[in-house]
Amino acid sequence: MNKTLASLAMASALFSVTFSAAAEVTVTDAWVRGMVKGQTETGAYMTIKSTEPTKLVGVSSPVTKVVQLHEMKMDGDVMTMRPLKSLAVPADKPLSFGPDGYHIMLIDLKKPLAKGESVPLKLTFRSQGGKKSSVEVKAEVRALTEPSAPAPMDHAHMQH
Amino acid sequence: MRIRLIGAAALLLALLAPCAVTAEEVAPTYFGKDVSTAKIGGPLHMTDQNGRRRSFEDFRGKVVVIFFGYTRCPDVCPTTLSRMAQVMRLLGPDAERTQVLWVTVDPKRDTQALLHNFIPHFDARFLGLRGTLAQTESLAKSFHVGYQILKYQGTFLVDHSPEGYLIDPAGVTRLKLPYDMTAEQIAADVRTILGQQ
Ligand SMILES: [Cu+2]
Repeated sequence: MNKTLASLAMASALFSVTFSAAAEVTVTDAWVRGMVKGQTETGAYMTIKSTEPTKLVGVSSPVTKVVQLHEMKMDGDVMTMRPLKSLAVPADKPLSFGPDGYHIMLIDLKKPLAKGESVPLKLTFRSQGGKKSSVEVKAEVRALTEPSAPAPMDHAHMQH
Repeated sequence: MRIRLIGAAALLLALLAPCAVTAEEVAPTYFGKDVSTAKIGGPLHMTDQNGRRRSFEDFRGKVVVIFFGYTRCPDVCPTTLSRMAQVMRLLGPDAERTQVLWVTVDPKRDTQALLHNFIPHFDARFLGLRGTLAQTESLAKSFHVGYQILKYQGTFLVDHSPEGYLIDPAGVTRLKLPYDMTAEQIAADVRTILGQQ
């Protein structure tokens, strides 16, 4: 019995090692909120799914040099927005960005992004083993008035 | 949910004892939080996106729904304004007796020109308001709305209370509208208040 458990544990340990090297991260439904003339910042949203626990550690885009990862959180009656250094993505559990959750902030844009444009985003992930990989997506610019998807119900249980 | 339960309990009580509880004695129920007696909201002296000076007296006879925000707000403010545009559609003809006001907490960066581009995108009837730093501070304070602006690596992070307030046609602040209220619930509260006039 103990032997079986031990070998099972070992097998699963090997399994995860094998797979963390080849964790598959997919990014879907990437979009950016459209802007009006005079605006210089906007938010980008997406759903990230990974086959292994991983961490989003950086985002870049050719449209601006200043790209930040932000978290919205209620502090009493006040909604706060704070930069995050990284964002943990659990295994096999889609992480959706949205209000009172996460977004990527595109800052200091030289011209407003209009509905219908497409914004390339490069997301860099670091696996638990320390291996870096990146995913490139094209985010569709939607209307300024587009409501953000509600944050997932289990948002509170996600690791930061 | 709780409000509906209270409503159901009140109805049940009314049915069980029709002589004891008449319709007039059942206090109206709202989806928002009743703050009628809290004396919330000070005077308004600000300029709208068209450069017109505005005060609350301009909107007597209408229900006013007021929110605070900033144009660089990535999702709370656009979501609130889109929801209020939906409220206006739900209200139909009652929308003519409803005024949505949106006050910037960051008048330094939210210029009148920017408000002029931003606000009508949601609904052409909405008014975006801008005051001096002191006017902004005193108005927000009078509504118990907190905000602060922090500088961070090339940007300004703005914290603010996302809830709104409903002011009745006589100018009394009646309801606090939490951020998680739906358009249907807000429209129902606007109608309830309009129906009391
Ligand atoms: Cu942000």
